[in-house]
Amino acid sequence: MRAATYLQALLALTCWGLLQAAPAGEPVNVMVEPYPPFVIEGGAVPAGPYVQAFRQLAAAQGVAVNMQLVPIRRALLTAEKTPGHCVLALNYAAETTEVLLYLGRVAPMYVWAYAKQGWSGSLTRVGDLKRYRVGAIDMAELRLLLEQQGVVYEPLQISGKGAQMLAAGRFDVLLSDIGPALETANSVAPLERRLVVLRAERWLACHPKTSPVVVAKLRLALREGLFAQSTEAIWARHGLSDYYQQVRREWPGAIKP
Amino acid sequence: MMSPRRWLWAPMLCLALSMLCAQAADLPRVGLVMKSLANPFFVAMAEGAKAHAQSHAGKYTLVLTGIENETDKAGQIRLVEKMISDKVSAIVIAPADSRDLVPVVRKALAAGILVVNIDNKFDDRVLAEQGINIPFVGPSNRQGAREVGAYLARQLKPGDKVAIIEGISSTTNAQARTAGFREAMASVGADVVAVRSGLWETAPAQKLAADLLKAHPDLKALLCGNDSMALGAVAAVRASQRPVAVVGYDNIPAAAPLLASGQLLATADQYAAQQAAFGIDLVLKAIQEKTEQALLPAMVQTPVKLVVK
Repeated sequence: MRAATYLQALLALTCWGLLQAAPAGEPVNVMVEPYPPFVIEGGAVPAGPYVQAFRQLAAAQGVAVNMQLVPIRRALLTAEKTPGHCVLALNYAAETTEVLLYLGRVAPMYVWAYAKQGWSGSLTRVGDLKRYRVGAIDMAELRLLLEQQGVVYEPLQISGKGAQMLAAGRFDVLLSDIGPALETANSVAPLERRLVVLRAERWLACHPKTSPVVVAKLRLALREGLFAQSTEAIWARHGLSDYYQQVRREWPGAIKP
Repeated sequence: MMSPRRWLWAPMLCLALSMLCAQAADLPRVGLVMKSLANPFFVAMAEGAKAHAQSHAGKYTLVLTGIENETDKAGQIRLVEKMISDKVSAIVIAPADSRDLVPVVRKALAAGILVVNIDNKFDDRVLAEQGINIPFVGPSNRQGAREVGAYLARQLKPGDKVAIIEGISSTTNAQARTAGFREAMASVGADVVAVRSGLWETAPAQKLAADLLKAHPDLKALLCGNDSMALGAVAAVRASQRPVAVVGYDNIPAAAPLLASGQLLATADQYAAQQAAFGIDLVLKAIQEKTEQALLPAMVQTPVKLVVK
């Protein structure tokens, strides 16, 4: 058994040698799910500033990409099992870092505590959530934070249903990052933001056997996330210049070269 | 008196010896920095590394070191600094913390030393922030824990209460194992009533297990992130005289009698003795082929398997 195990590892190292010799010209399949206004459906293919900025930054490093709209769970499974596949705008989860390579931050994200307008509760810090019924999007970093703080919560099976569940009184507070979608939804009661619960980031994560040459190029492409100076016009075309400037000012991922 | 023939041989012998000495001086020196040498898992890892060095005699020199206990991050940082000042060619490290060891290994990279990560993966977020590539050579801890949990799940039913005793919560492998356990418990509908850290060590885990048994009189199982903690949990269960199942991870030698007696239901073997060897192979190949750090493979996956009675 020992010899077989050792041979397996040697085989993996040999494959690495072969991969190194392979050209970086093969298009990388990048999967992303709709996340308005940053990722929107443009027919069968994804569109929006995340998609266009990523395509441009990758091309500048000589990496061709084939972008596809795929639901996040399926995208994750595919990227874990299929070489040459990546997921764009993924939330970080430590437990997947041994099967997926998180190679670059693409954008900041904020998880807010929402309540119905006029709600009389008080929230000044995360620990205050212990006093209320909480519903939360399913996200590893948030789960870790809430468990560390001893906050009991109901994880949402479908993130997009959170606002309706809050409006229906299933819980007092909703923890969610889907701000733009929530705020434009007109089918639910008005909500208000009460507290920033978590500042996190969205990532590009790829199959672990992605060619080291491609990995190095994509890392370089994303050294300022999707907010490099060269992407300014893309953000402007989508009416998101103010957001772009704010991220450039405030997000360490974009500030640090 | 030396014959003319001997006079001819003498300088040739000197030349050969000096070439051998020069070769020895040129051998790459690979530093292996491990976690707690009190943990049998890392003792097995050290033995595996020594065996690898012996079987590759004349190809590299092994410099082997480790810390006293699992939480001694400062001690491990000092070990890496010593490796840097000793100018080793490469460092293979099982970091005591996924984040706090990154700055010192960055120093090593800046000094031109190759670095490879084994056992506990560095936090990708910190690596991205620092703009560095450190390959991880190791198994999927989540997969291993999922298999151990699935074996336990066969004897559970929906609604049964279980608790997880995890390693140091900030480490990637602790989080990955906990996630694997959770997935297995979710698949059978078991209720995870608590997730607490036993710091990878027996004594804290034993106390924690005793507290959990007291707080949850109907607890059915304790899932431990490594076997050292499982030893503590088994002792606490034995003291409580209650039928609570215990599972572990790592397949250390001390687990064998507990597996045989059924006190430990299952564990996972991720081939400690060979993990360091996998990492050393990677750096030797990189040195031989003059591959720069940025172009090393980000990940080399190694096997893990379920171990039961």
